[in-house]
Amino acid sequence: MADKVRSLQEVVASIPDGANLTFGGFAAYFTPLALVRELIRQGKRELEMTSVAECWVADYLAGAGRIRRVRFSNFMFEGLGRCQNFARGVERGEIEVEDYSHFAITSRLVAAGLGVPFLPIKPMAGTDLMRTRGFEAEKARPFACPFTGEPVLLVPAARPDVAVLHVARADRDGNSQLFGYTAVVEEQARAAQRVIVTTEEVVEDTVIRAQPELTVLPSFLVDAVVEVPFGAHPTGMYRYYDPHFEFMRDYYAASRDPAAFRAHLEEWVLGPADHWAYLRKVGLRRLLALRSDPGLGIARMHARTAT
Amino acid sequence: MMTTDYTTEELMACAVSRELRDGELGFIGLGTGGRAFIYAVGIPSVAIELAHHRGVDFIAQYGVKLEPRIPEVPGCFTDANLLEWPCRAMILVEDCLDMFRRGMMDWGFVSGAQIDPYGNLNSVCIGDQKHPKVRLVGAIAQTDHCAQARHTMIIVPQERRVFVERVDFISGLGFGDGPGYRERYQHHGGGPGKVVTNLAVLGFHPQTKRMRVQSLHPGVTREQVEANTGFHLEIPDPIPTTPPPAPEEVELIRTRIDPRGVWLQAKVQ
Repeated sequence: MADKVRSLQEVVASIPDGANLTFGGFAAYFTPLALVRELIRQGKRELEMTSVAECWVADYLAGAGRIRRVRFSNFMFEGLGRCQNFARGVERGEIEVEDYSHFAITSRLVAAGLGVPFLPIKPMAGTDLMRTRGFEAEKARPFACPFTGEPVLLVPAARPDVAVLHVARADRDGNSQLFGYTAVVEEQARAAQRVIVTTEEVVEDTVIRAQPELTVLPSFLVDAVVEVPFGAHPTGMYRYYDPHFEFMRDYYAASRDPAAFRAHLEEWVLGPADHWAYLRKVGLRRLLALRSDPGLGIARMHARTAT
Repeated sequence: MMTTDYTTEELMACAVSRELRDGELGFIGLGTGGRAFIYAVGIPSVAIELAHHRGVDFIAQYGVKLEPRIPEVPGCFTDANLLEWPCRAMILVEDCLDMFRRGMMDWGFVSGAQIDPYGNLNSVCIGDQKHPKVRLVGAIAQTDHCAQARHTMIIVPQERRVFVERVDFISGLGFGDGPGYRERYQHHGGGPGKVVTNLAVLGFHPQTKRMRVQSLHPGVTREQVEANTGFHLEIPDPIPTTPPPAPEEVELIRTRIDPRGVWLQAKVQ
């Protein structure tokens, strides 16, 4: 069994400026934000994203001025609204975007994962999504099915340089388990040329073997494993901790104003020397309060607002 | 006997509900907050549950969750709460896509920032896509619903900035520029079915494919609709009135379907 465990600094140092990245995470959950904060701390720039809906990553990187191009379906903060930093970056012409429907961008990742050069799809035909050019070439090409003549669109396989995915637990070889929603992490892992997993905990092989049905990423898909407890904060991690809603609301309020967001970045991302300093700043009391109750599956403080 | 004790959202939910038939399948996303949530998620959900109370076996799919118990919606949309919200199946993401691809989805419930006379929707940008005045959330699966659902139920606020002569960007295809447009692409889906707003229920002319008023909500005038629409709307004469919710329907919504106001008042954390 290979030992793929690396430090956060080391894996982030291996990501070059200008890399095309795809990130895990959906809505307010399992977003690899410890790694995103380290990308910002290390000064990584001119990054590209191939995204479905990784709103927190896009907004952090946009607010720090680190992304140049994004291929995506949608970014929105559930319960809060559109992503302010990202929207401002696009409105100011600092970020170029390539818009896709949800199924179209997913199909581009699926094609890469299947090892085929393209997939035929139907949606997007007849919309303005087809009238805007892609970064490299056409986003999709109209084509007549060679068997029936039915009009389809061919979408090219998308192979991001690196997929960064946050999981619940992994062994040292990279067999990775997620307990909640998995969104499109399997498609992203299969599509990317390199896969970095950040994990709440590195566990013994025997723990993984006890429940193999929870393994969403087998080791052969994973290149590096980084242990970062609370690595998705302020988003949540199912069965580990809830989203930190107050922090998210403060973030959103700051993101409405570039100067206020600059201050937020200084305080929470550039200021702390590393992930541990960040967690110390959030504070033990708060982190413990966010922890999931093993019986309830969520934090006790949120239990009273549930059904 | 007419009752005036109902909210506009309750009326809209009842209007949507009347369009739903036995055995149909509909897809609802779970996103955003405030009015966008009420329109895209809350109103269709209450409509579906009202249909269930009438004995209509309408099948609702929320993302990957098949037929969750609508009144038991969690008051806080954490993953944990959503995962534990009782439902009949957790469908694979690929299967959600496939159900649209194979033309199995009867209704896609959609909304948008702009809509034009042919039911084309925009959720991408205000202004030019490369240099937008306002960058919006993006196409989401709206494009996919509009192409492949048998019909779409469009739920939007009726305002001049929403009802525009031309949308700035077509992200969800309605009838394009009119008759024959959708047919060129042989989309499986039939396009816009109904548009339900805070003022009216609207449909589309079978030949011209232009939006037209089907009924105005009680108390709403022709002038009010015209003042809030940025394009010419055909309005029948005499104008039918949207049936108001029956007192039993209002009672059901308030006591059984949405007692905590999660759906129609967006009382979500």
